[in-house]
Amino acid sequence: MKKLSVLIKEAGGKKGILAALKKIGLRFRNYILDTDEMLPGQKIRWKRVFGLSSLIAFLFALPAIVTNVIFDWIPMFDGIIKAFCYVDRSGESYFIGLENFKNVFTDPILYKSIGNMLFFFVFNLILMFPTIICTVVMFRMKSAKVQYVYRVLLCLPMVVPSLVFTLLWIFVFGYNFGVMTDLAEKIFGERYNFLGDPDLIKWTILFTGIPWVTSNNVLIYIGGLNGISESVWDAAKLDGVGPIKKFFSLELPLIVGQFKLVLIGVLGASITTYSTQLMYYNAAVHDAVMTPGLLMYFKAFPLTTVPADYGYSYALGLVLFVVSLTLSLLSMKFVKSADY
Amino acid sequence: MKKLRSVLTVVMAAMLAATLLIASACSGGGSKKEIVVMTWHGPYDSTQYYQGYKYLEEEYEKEHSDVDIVLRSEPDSQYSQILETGFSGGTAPDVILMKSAQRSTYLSDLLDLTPYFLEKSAYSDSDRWIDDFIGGMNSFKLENSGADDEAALGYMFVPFDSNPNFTEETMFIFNTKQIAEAGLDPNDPPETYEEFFTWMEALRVDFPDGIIAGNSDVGTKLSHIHFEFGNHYFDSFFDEKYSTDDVSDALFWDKTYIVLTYSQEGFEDELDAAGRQVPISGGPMAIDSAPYNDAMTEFGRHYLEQYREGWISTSDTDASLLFTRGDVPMYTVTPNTYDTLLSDVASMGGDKFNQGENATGMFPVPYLDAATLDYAVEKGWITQAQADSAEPWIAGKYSAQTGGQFDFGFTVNRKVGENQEKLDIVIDFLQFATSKDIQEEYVVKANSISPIDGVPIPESVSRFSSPEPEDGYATQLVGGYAFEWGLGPDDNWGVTTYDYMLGENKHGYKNATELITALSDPLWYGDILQLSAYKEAMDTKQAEYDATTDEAMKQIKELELKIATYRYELYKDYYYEKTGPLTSK
Repeated sequence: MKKLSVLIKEAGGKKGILAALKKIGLRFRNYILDTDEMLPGQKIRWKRVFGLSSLIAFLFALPAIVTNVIFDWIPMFDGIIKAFCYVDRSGESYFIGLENFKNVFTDPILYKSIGNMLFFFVFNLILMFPTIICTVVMFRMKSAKVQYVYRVLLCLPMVVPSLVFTLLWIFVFGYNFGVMTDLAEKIFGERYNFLGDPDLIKWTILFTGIPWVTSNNVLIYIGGLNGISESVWDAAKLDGVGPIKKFFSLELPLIVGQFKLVLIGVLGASITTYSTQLMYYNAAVHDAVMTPGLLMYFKAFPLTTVPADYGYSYALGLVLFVVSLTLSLLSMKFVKSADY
Repeated sequence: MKKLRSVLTVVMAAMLAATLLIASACSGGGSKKEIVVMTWHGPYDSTQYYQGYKYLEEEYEKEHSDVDIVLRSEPDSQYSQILETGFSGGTAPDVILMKSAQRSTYLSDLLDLTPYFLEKSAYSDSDRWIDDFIGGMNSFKLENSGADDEAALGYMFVPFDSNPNFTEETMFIFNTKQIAEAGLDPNDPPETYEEFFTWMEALRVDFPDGIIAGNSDVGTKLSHIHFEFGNHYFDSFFDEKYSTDDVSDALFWDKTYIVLTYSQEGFEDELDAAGRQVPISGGPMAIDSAPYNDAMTEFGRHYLEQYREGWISTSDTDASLLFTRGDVPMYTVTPNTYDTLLSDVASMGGDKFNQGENATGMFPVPYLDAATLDYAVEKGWITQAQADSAEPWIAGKYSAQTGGQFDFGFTVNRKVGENQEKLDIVIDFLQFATSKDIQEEYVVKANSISPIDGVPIPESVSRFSSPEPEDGYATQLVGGYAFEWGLGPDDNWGVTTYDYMLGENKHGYKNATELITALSDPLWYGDILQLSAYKEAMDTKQAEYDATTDEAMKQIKELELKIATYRYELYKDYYYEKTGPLTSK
């Protein structure tokens, strides 16, 4: 461990730290007051900040801001504070420092659940590609009308809640009457308990995402591809670029911006994932489907009649939030967009 | 195009206006007082309970046009979560159907109903409302009335859908033809677990994949076995004076709390943080080495094996389908699920179900007796020594979970007490709902039983009961608490127990003691009040006793004082001031 004085010295002394803080402050001011950090000394456009059009715009945004504060920010900050508290059943909180975090990090179930989370995390990343490939294939269709029809067909399932799909798959994989179980018995000569076998359940959950094409993401990618200048495709055509090379050298690099956006969503969702696992949960597959997100849920809402451990849930929620945020920031920093 | 746009604008505006009107009407624009009543008896669209509750709602609103009774049904499996979030967030309903353990958890959020019980009901001729109930005051549990600063004992719930002398329970329903084909007599169903396992053995020939259709619920299945053990076992940790007939039931939960929370380490910080006295640290929990643990666990394992393969991931619907299709010969039902079963069959066009050769029979969950222990020894499930250890603690006859006292009923959210007008309506509604005339109709419509004296039990329900033994039902069977009050290494006792019994035994437990030691956990210490609260409750009862002059009432107050005094002494001697381990005599 380095001493604080050494760290300050390495950062350029007190002056260096003050300069860094000033820089952060200026950047913050630029965001708020709509000034440009590349133009030092410019005047703040107060009229623009407090002008009528700004106020009207603010009024339009006000309901969203208020609901955001009430339903997102307050619970979030409340959660951060309570991560350091013991919360009893009446809702009273008592500060206990890092005790909840100690409980989280010494809990063997957490480490088991991280393994499951990593499984879903890795496959969720891999399974981002069917959507990209599907989008590119659709984008390459020559007929705009056919492309439109496919787009509509892809978007149709969006009107059905994902919960319904999950329940449908639970029927399909059911041990007693599931068509997949019957099929497996015909092929392999024995009935597999897809929903009750800890060795199969993770793969069953993954399989239920088939064909792993997400309608929302298709729209995001296709928006990106539509925004690329026609001259790029013309040039590729003139150069005789083949379909595979076109994918890796043009289409994929050109939608990295959209990819980043989807990636951030996938990272966050994979790290905090729990709802699908909860749907598939039963006593036999406990270890196999337990993710940190599900652990957080069960600590707050236990399946048995034991008392809830809110402090643990708050602390684990905060840890997951920090991990998710860090990975999102890293992906934004290191996954570079291509400009053409 | 312009015309279309203007038409659309008018339509949209009209829709918006209509929405706003509806919203304002729905948001209580009228002067009706809304009372929200929550139960687990649902869903209302497919159970007979709905007919009963609807009847209550309509009849009450007919007489009280200014009141709007809003019925809310929540699944039993999510009930605890809803209560937890409801009370934490201040959104809990006004009137809530609760079980005993739930009342213990949320006592500080509930209103003490004692003063109302001791007054005359507006819908009865009795002097006091409490006298309308079967067994009167003696059928009620006196409970701590919640928060630490209000330690007086009180009556915390209005019994409903229950009868202290009648145990409505899970029954096994069977297909008579399939039973007969196995060489068994469908007219002579099992009474003991020995007879039950003999049936299973015979049926296994035709049904090698399992005999009983079951859903993924581990806990309920195991409770059929676990609550055949531990007959008055907790009494053996305390002085005999706490087990006499007049106080035994009233102090049952106190003894349970002490046995299940005493003598543990590792919770000092939380207890300090919650401002409670720290219990004495010590060795293992008292229940870890209960003499019946080995036998109970082995019976549990063999019982689970009778369910049709794949039950751990089977839904309720699939389970009932397995039985109605004839894939298995047996299934478990309650009065409520029996109706669902019949409607399931009807929706499948299965009008032949329960007719002719598809006739069904029913029998209650069996009881475990000495002959069953011998049977298990003979089969090699348990050793003779394990059977001998368990024998003094088995049920030996049909059990009654009610134990002569009401167990569940309607509680009132403490918040209701902050609004006198609302409180008056709630009390009036509960008195109305428990009036004899209303109850007579209610039980028939709801296919239920009544807590009110003189209301007959409908025939459709009376068959869902074990025949009462001549010397009364077995009570205070506590074997299951060793499991259900703990958490275990998987944070879920059902998971750990299932894994030990039918899974890979991933934790490597060598025997039942190791399993139960891992599961037992003093999680409920938070529900034990500070000793001063029990002292205060005792003093309050003493003052009430001193102030009572009426001879009949004096007797009641004397008993209440005795219970409050014993409760204080129990916690003082066996929890707060005890040193060393708590041991069974």
